[in-house]
Amino acid sequence: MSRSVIPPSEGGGFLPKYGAAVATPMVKRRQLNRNERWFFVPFAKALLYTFTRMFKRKITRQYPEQKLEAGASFHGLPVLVEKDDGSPRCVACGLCEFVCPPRAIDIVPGEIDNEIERAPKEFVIDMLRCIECSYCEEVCPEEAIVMSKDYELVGRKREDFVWDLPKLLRTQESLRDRLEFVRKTYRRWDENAEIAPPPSGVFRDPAWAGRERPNEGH
Amino acid sequence: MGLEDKFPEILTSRLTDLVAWGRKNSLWPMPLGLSCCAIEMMATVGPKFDLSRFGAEVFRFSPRQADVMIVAGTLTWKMASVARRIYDQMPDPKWVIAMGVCASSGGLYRNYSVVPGVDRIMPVDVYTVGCPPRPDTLIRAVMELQSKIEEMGLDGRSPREPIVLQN
Repeated sequence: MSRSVIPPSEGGGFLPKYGAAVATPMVKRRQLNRNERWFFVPFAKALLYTFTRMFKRKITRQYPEQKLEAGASFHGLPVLVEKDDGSPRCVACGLCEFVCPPRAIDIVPGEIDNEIERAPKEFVIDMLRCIECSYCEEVCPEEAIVMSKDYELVGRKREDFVWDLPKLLRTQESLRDRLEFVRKTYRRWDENAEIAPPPSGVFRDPAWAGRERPNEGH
Repeated sequence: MGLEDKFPEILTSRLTDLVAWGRKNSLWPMPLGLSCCAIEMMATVGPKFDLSRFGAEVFRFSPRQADVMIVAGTLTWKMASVARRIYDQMPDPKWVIAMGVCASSGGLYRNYSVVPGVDRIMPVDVYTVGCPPRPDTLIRAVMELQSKIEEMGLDGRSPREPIVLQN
């Protein structure tokens, strides 16, 4: 019996002076044996565990030398894609500005002298507000703003984080895998775009193979 | 020109350089973990990223024993006075890293309850992007802070004279 209520005469609980008799039960501690008191075996076990780690595989990544190899699905800081002539793909529609949850994007639209007619006069992203959610990339009809693989931006002044057009523009070549990923993921209305098969779910279910969709015609 | 010409095996330095070198390689952070950034901060100290490679692994939960405050997370106005008090309790010289978008600028929270950047209530030395930033980014911020400390004088705040080599 490890738990027992000690009567107040032996120092447990208290005697209430007023009102109803409410006694606090005190728990008697179990007498520890010598092994438990000296704590040697668990201590030695822990030391042995730590010692054996020295001969295991090293898992520390040596950061400044050994950087993250980001895949195509990595959400870094958003950048603008430039056309072959070096101007931005962006047509300054303002959808990303509207959808951005922290309102980090600021666009001043302007006119240009070709069939596209619109281009951003100024395009500013405050990287200190950007939460890298990729909503801007998802909403962009021109595939003009995509998430890059830059993520380790630090600085001493807040002004350094406000990126304008020349800082944001990247070549298509440097963003190739992300652009392919975007096209496959969001299934743009480009009919010729290669569409990845749906990963799982009802459309992969053999019971639905070759049939029409369940709610067709309703 | 001086002592090192006569005894080339001796390294000479200024006291300021020595102090800055010691300070930057033994940062003791005060983790002000306010929300999800704190999880990344814990991962930074863990074995995979291992902040102790930069001498900044001794997280002190007592502000009296810390010299760099890592504000990790959303700082609300209700918490702001406490954060400022913790900052005031830290001994000089002290530095602040605003970790993540919320601490740096308020980020996603454009509302009345969140401080729009901890630089409203305390001077910030290094800002960090990301929501939350990866542990790599925090390590980069610590490295940036180290290079900043290296440029500072004995008080830890104002820049010191650069070393001019004379030949």
